[in-house]
Amino acid sequence: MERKRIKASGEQNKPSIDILSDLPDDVICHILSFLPTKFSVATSILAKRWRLLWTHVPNIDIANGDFTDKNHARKSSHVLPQCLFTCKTVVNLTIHNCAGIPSSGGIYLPSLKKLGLYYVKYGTDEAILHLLSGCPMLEELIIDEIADQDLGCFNISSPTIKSLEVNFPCESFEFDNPDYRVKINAPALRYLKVYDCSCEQMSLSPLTSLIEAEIHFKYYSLEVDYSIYTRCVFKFLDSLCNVKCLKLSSSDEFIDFSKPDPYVRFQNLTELELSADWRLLVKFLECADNDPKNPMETMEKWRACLLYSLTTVIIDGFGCTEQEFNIVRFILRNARVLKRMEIHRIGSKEKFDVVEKILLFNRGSKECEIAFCYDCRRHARFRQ
Amino acid sequence: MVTTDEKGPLTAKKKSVIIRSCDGDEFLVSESAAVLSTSLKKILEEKEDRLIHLSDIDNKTLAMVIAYLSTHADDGLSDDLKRSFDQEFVSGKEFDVLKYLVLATDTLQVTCLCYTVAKKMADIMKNKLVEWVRREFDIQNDYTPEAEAEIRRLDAWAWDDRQLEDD
Repeated sequence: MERKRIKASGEQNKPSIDILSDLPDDVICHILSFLPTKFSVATSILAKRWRLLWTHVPNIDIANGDFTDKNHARKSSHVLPQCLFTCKTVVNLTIHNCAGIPSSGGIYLPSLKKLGLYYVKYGTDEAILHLLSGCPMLEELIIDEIADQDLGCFNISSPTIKSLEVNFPCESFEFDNPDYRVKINAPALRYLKVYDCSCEQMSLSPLTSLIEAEIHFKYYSLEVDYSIYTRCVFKFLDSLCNVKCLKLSSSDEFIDFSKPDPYVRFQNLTELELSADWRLLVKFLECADNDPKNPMETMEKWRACLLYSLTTVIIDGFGCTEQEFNIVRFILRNARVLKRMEIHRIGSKEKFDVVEKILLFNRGSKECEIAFCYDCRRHARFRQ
Repeated sequence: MVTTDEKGPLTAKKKSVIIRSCDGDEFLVSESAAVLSTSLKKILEEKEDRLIHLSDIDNKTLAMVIAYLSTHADDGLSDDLKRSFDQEFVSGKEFDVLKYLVLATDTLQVTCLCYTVAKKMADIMKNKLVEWVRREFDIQNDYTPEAEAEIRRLDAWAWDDRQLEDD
């Protein structure tokens, strides 16, 4: 790019009148960078000089619906231009509702740091693997819905990604192929978010760097054996065992509590937000030889886990059962470094009685404060 | 630590620079404002000369850039005030004026202002047709009709809005 040189005093030049006929390429690209890619591509029609100017714009913004014109039949997603996959400068790439990721050759995105794939049609099992292998600097990856109905294995593998968000809604899993699998191999991962997690289909390689995880479990599928599903859930949770901050939610009671399953011990856990079956909390922290039918005895054995690491507990949806009171009483008594307990959405009309009862529980940590909130917007709070 | 105290009044002593536009007008600018432009800073570092001639920037545009630089060099103004100054600075300006401004800020390497002006121009260009851009930037179409048709065919998706309007 040529930059006009500024002349110091002494050189008296005549005013240049036609300076605008050649706005430098980088200035034009700077302006285009604030506009949708569709607009930038359209400018290629202006003149020969503009033909490839849009390819120098450092960001790409392709929106859902950009490709649904009548020249491209709606029955198939638009095939992305192949030159996109060898762009040396693109740092942040988001693709909606497209197809055409090459499954062999032709992918090299050396600057790409952030990649978002929304409702993309991959075509083959190899496509995602191949795409990620061509992104040596990738740090953030979002995969939201898959347009394919016939994949056998979805393999998310990257040595560099630090943040991963995946959302496979239930519909995507209604494949003919019952052996469908999602594999995640990302040793550098620090943040993981999985929405509609289907544990029996998902396998994780060790995530030793993981700091924060947010998992929403999918509805329990009746076709899968209850106890096998339970085992899958714990195997999945086991691969998150190094996490410091965990948010876990489920709309279902999906655990078979009749059998003593392997427990998970989260050694580094400092923050836990649980919105699921209460008994899952027991499963989290209990020892393998506990008798799950005797919850109080189980609780006594939690101590080692709770004493020195747990600092925050957020309870979303308190049903006021005897067992729930027992768990809250136990946590408050034994968690020695607990700083804060939040209880949201108390499921009782006698809310003040509930609050009073909980506030009277002994606390193992003098610093501990308890907050109550009656709606999910988390406004009104009682503090002590 | 006495030396730094003695240094205080020295640095506070205001130095000035004269900047001359391509049509000959001269502006007196404090050095603290001038050095916000990376290009001017380099010139001042290289030369003792206090007169800088800018052969590419006209009088009207230069006055605007200098107003911007002086405001941003004013330590008495809060960041919030400077931000709202930036917004008012570009609002209501003609596209033509912005074109000269963006070129001047690029030449002078005033990154913040270049960003603000380029973004304002993009806001104006949004939802405009390519033909509007051709007119505003005064671009001569040097494609043959065949070449233009071929590009429109290859990247048809970029122009499909007009086709939809025709329906």
